[in-house]
Amino acid sequence: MMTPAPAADRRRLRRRHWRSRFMLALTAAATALILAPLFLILYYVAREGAAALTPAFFLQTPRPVGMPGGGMANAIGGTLELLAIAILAGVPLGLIGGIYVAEFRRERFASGVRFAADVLNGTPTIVVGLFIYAVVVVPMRRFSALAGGLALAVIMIPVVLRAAEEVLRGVPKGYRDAALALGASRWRMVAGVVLPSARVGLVSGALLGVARVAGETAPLLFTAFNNSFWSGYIDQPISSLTVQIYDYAISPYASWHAQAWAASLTLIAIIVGIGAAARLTFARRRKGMA
Amino acid sequence: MSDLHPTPALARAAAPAPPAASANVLEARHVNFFYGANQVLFDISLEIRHGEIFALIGPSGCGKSTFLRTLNRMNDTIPEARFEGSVLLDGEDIYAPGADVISLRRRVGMIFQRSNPFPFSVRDNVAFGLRVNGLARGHGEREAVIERSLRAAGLWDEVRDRLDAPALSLSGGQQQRLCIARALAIEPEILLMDEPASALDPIATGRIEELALELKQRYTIVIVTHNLQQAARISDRTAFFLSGRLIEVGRTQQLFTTPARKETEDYITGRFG
Repeated sequence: MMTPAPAADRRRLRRRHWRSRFMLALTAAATALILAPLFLILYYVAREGAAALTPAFFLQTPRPVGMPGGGMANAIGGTLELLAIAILAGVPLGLIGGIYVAEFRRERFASGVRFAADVLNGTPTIVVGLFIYAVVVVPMRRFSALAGGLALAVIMIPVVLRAAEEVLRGVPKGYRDAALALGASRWRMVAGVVLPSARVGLVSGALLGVARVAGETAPLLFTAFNNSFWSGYIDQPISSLTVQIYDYAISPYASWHAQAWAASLTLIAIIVGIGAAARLTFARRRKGMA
Repeated sequence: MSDLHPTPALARAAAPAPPAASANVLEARHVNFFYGANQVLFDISLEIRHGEIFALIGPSGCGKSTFLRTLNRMNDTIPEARFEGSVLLDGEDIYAPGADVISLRRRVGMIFQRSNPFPFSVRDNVAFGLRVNGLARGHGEREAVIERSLRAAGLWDEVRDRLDAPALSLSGGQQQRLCIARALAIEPEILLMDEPASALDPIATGRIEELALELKQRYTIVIVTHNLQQAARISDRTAFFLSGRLIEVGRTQQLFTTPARKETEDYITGRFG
């Protein structure tokens, strides 16, 4: 580089600036395009649902056709109960499976399990519902919250397993080496070092699973079925927001449509709430120790 | 676990002054090591004596770290790896069938190239080895061991007021000394150090070297280093590795001033590596 030709140089520089600006605008536009539907959905659901969000909506059970009023208290409770059953059954199994695959088996076995998990993850959820119908509902001779929760758990397991496996593989090798070199057995290394280090990621993985199933309708149709009344019993049919939304949305009544929108808004709020609560707890705990 | 089923081969020697026969604490005999079909150590035999600092030097990839890791069987965790030969610790083969790798590692501690404190508090880092080995169960006893270990690692004065602070908030040099404290807490007999100062600045490196010289009073130390000056400064004896073979081993001063082998001379005078 002796004496650069100033004019040509400046032109090239300008072209490069333009290209940079163009690419930046392109990525910004793509981001906006992705986020737009999300905000449109939120906006639309909020607008349509807000009107029906009365105290009665949260406190009352559905009224028979033709009677005004009523609410979805039982469906909100039912969704929470179904999620609780799904979490109790699905999260431990998914986590333990993920730990086993990531920590105690070689790569060939792990890739087999990964493939199986992906197949299960890709299985239409209504098929999972059918499966639970066959192995739980038929022997019990009734629809039940238990069956619904187990159907959700089956859908949740591969998500949690894959997430847990990935998170555990990300734990630095140095931690494992240090633990083993201090005389820890393999299990003590996993329980004492690997799992605590990965805790935040493991909870995120579990939440991913919860978020995946919280909005499911199909697997509940012939497992949990529906219920117009309060029912806390796990061996009885139970109402859920999603199935209630489905029933009300295909009904011919305007007041039911409004309630379906309100239920949609409530469901979104529950899912966002679960995520936010867990995030906050863990943000606090992380500041405390890690 | 090891308390319930003591392995006779690895039972700790009760007598503080072992007989002359065991002046060699560690003895590698005809060690060959393979990663799959790739042989990385060729017929290594050498002894490490009680209370000395023994340095392993050689260019990158010469097998010095791999050899170090055969001494506490850390290579066991690598799939496809194969070991041949034997390593005697106080005369007992640590690779003998039935030898307990957990009690071995309790006696032979290790410091790694990249400091690797757990993402826990300073206190929990030091206490980890105590916990897994069921040592110092009482609260007071445990705190005493934690303090003693941190003092021995020259870190106590810097962390005494923040034992509950996250270990990862310490500086790089402090983190490495914390790892040393963590290793010392379970009172090993031998410390293996794998380039413990390679990621540290000169001041922190100096502190680690001083520390090694202090620890020599109580521990036998085997240190891998690519820093020849470091080996010359702190070690009593040095082994020079090249391409997986032990080229020369001897008193450090002798090896650095009058090496017996041409390859050693070429290396220490900077002709390669």
